[in-house]
Amino acid sequence: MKLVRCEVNGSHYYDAEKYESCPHCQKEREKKNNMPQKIASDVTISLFDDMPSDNTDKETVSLEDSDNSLSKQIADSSASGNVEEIKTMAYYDFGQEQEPVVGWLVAINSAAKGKSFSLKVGKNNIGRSGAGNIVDVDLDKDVTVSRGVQAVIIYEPKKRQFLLQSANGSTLVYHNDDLLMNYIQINAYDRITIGETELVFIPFCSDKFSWEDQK
Amino acid sequence: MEFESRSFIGSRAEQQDHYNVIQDQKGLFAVLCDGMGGRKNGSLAAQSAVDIFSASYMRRNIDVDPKFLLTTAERADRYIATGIEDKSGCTVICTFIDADKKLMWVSVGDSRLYVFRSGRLRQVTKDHNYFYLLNRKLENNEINKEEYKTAGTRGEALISFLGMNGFELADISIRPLALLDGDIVLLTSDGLYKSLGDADIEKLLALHHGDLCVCADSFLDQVRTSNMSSIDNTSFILIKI
Repeated sequence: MKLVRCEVNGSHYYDAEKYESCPHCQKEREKKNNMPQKIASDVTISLFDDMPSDNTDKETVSLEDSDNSLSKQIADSSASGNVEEIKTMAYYDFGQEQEPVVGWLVAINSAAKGKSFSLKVGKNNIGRSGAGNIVDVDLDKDVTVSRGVQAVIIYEPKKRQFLLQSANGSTLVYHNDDLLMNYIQINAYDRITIGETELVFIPFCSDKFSWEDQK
Repeated sequence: MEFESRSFIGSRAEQQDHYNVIQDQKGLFAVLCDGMGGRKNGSLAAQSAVDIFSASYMRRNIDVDPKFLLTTAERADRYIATGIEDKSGCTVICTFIDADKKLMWVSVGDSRLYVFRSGRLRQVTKDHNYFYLLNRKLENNEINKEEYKTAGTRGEALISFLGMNGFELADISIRPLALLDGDIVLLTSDGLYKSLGDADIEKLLALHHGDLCVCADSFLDQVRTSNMSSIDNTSFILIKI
């Protein structure tokens, strides 16, 4: 047996002792030839995807696209690391559309004044979304906040504590008017200032309540 | 869903890999454990872990979710640490594919889970060996390349496995992964990927994905004829959606 990678389509392999050219490509050509011409001309066929039927508006599905989407799917589904950390992620994330709220941030000034942001178990990224950044608490109206994560609020369910941690962003973050350099435990009605926005922290989970007590 | 599994002792005196596959109306449950050769009773540890996982799955009314998978791994860990004489240990890779073709998994150690789609092989789980730590340290600039190289001689030693009485690292699906028709899921002990390498596994899957039985045989043929001086226990399960 002589394994050869197909030159036309880099993802095919075939036995060069049996076939002169790539049999998979041959099959696809035959498949294509049997299709209405209009579709065959603008649709790239992935090895395992069903042929698109009569819907010519369908997005082109290429081998590369489907492959990238699998990598992304895997990245979205998997957690690797410290058992206690992934437990926190897995138990609250799995199959739940709505993650249980553990506390809130309330904006008390600037463009977001009066708006509340829900906090969940584990890490809550605070900053401004856009340009490839996604954050949980999005101060999208405050342009004095750089894009990306500026601070992180962590709810740690074992000790039922909230921590405020600085991130690698370029916007200064203040906790009760003190510059945040590392991390600090936060309590009810503490003020967090990022850019021009001032946020007040309100805990829901505490000594008095925990989602774990409800199970 | 169809599946094939193979096991090969290699050049070792004892087969310490154990596995089980259960297919029922709920879906397909597969578990594979690799007993640690450096410790006594590695085979017994692996067999025990497979039994604990299988029995847990067979209990009535259980929902397979991350909590079930991790809790079962922890039970197996405690059992091996306290119930088996001498310090023994094993890896585990366990998967469940439900009737909607959703894949869930847990892994502790260096047995691996792969998904093959559209001619490409993707490794899903990470190996919990010393390299895992070294790579992290290298990324964080805590060690330089020279130190990495020196320490790398022990790189394949496991740092997380069942039998530690509290394993530190694990891989788990926090959300189910949606599989497509034609996808192939591969669970394997290190024997396969160390003998063949990902590129060869991908080649053989691309060539034989139409016939899972032929594919499994071709894996074993390649392992048998690999030029390595010593061949590790090799076990794997192939599942086609």
